[in-house]
Amino acid sequence: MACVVFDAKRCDAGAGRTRLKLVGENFPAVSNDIKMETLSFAVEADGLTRIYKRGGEEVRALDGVSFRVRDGEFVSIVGASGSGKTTLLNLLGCMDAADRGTLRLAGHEVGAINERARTRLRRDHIGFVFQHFGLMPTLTVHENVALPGLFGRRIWPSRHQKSLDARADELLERVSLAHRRNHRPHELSGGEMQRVAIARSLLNTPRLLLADEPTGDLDSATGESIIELLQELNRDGLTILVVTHNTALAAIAEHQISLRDGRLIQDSTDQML
Amino acid sequence: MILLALRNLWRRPLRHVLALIGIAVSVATLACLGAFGQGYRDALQSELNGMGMQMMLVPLGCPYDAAARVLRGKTLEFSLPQSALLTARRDPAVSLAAPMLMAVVPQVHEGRTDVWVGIDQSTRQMKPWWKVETGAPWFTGKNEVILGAEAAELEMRRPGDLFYSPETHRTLRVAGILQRSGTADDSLFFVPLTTAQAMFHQTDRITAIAVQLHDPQQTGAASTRLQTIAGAQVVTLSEMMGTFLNLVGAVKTLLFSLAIVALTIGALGVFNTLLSIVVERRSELAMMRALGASGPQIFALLTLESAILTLGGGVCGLIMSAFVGRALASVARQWVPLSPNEVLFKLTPNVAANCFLIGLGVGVLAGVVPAWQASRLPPALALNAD
Amino acid sequence: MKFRFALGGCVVLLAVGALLFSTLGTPPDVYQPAIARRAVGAPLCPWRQPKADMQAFFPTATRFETRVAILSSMLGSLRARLGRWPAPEENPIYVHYVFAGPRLLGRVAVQRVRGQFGAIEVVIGVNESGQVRGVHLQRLREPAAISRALLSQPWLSSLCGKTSRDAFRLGADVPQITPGARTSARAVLKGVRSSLILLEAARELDATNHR
Repeated sequence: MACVVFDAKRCDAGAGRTRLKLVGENFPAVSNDIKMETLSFAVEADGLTRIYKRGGEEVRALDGVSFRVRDGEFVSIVGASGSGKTTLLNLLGCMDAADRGTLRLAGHEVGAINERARTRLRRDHIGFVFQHFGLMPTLTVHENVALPGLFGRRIWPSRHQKSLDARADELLERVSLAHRRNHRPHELSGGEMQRVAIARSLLNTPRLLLADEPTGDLDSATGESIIELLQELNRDGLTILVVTHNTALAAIAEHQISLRDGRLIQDSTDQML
Repeated sequence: MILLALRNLWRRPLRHVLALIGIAVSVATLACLGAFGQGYRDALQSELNGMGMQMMLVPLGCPYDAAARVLRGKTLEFSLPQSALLTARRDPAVSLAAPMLMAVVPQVHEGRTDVWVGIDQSTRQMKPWWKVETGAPWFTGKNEVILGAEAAELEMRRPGDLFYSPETHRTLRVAGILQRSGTADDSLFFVPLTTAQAMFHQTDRITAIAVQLHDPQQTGAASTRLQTIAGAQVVTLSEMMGTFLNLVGAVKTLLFSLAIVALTIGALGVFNTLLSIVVERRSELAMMRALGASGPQIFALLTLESAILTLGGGVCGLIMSAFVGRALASVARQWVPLSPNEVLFKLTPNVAANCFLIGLGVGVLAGVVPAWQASRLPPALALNAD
Repeated sequence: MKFRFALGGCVVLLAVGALLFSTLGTPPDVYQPAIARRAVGAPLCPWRQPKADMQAFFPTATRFETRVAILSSMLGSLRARLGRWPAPEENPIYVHYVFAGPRLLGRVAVQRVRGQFGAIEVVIGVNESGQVRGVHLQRLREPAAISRALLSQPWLSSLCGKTSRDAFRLGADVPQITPGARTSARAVLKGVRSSLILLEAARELDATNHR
């Protein structure tokens, strides 16, 4: 089978698995049953519809949204409050299921796999960055970064612990926070916390990074540094989808998706809808 | 995962320490009761063994009826002939056979009962714990009485005093007064066997014979042989012990029901703590789900937290019971029927392990529902909370 | 947080209470007579026939109340009056107050004394002037002849009107009795005198408290 069209750096044809170069080749692949297919599209959404019931009334949070995201793209999703951004992010993160339409992530038809497989897909191929960082207050910076690795194995420490630690250290180095390794989240600034969150999202070598307002809780200077980091990660081949109100962040995205009242009103790769 | 669970527990130390104390007290209660039961059983066994007696020969029929007949001065239908004593003593397995004649005289106006016991030297050999507080250790004449400590206090008697039995019109001299033993002996009037037989018109009759064997292994065979004595039935030591333990059993049931209440309170503490954890850390748990934790992994994390809590509580409870148990046992000794002299509190590894496992099981079980609730949290909450 | 702390405290208290109750509260339901309790003196003596004694001592009496008199503050004075230190069973003592409606008629005390052949329990009724209203031997273990002598109404009635300040010499202040019964009779007289002194002390204590 052919390698990824748009990102030759990510190709590891011998193993039949994709991997980010930026995080090094030493880290062993997290086990999963889902075999990656080498596709040119990281996300393929077709007619996604999500309907909520509120007090007996149907609310269409998403209404027939279709778009495609190529591997290695930087995508911004914009829209006013209530336009369906978070609902779309929930669907893209395999945290919710669409009522109608199809969604393919990393070559997998999300609607066709069960909850367990969705959890594995989320764990192994999707990274999350939250507006409020979502760091565990009881864990150190290093432990927070290594946290997703904990869910890939059983309760007892395995022989992967050392490589997991090394991987977390490598990522902290990558986000320039190695010196904060043993600090607790409350000892960090907002920007530092978001960098830790980004490092954490990269632990399992995701194919897709979903960020929900990553600069929302930061001042403009710190926000810019986060934008730069995201750009850097994207340059290294990571597909990034950012939900944002930040015009600067939306502007740097090569692909912009606009939502209004649950409908896609603009997809910069297509003509105006 | 363990580190994460420990760090989470440390986040709210006061709450978790209180839940831990609840479990600790429950386990300590269980352990105290278990250790006390074990100690009592062992001590009773040891005491009965110490009596050097393996079985008793008693008359067929109801002992209360026999007592009523003694009161009316009638010959006992339900007593043993003295010849039974001779037969028992002739048995090759028997090393000692001690007779006793018991006569019960209710003092209706006083709300108490005088119990006269006729004994001979062989009975004394079977009561090695007998110690005389004052006076002579044994009868020096026919018309003498040895009083239990409580009986002597009530009758205000001292060695050498006279003691009158209005029912049998007999005046006796107090030979000695026994040390308080905490047993039925404290309230008894002991007289020589022949004197008792004469006082209650029971010539050549006895109420029971305590039998000591050369070899306790021969209990079965000797029991079968002695059972052939006309009008006699054999009660072995284990049967007697069963009866004593049954007496304690009712009290133990009550105590165990209280222990269950304590355990329930402890379990509710764990339940409440875990439920608070789930409510408080809702978004955090959802965030972990978003990061790739599966439902079973969240369940395992919460269950691990409750297990650590109950594990700590169990260990503390056992330590607590080791300190408190002995003191409580010494206090409880005064309230326990037929209290043996040996240590009543035996926290054996078996008892400790059982109590610990029960505490752990109940604690973990109490954490199941909150853990299940946590495992069902939708990961989408992580974004919604944002 | 406060609520949780209180809740946690309640749980701990309940659990500790359950532990103590479960271990200490073993009901002594079997072998009642054999239960051993350390006591320095003889067991306290109960009033066995209160109704009959009350009618005999105070015919108009309608009820009685039992109170405990702690005489520890009067030990010196009691020693002087009794001629010895009070025995453990004499302090505190049970004093039975006898009433006709709301009016206090007198007091009753019960004392166990050392008879020649066993303990004798003496019940004594005293009016508010401190005079004996009646004496009853509620329990004795003496041979029949001695019992008859001790229980004879003329001999017991001779004690009526006596106070704690009176002498109780047998054959001088109190009528003589048959020779075989004299030892026990002296014990009874000693008991009556002690009870009178103790009741008087209890009355003084009441008066002090009342003031």
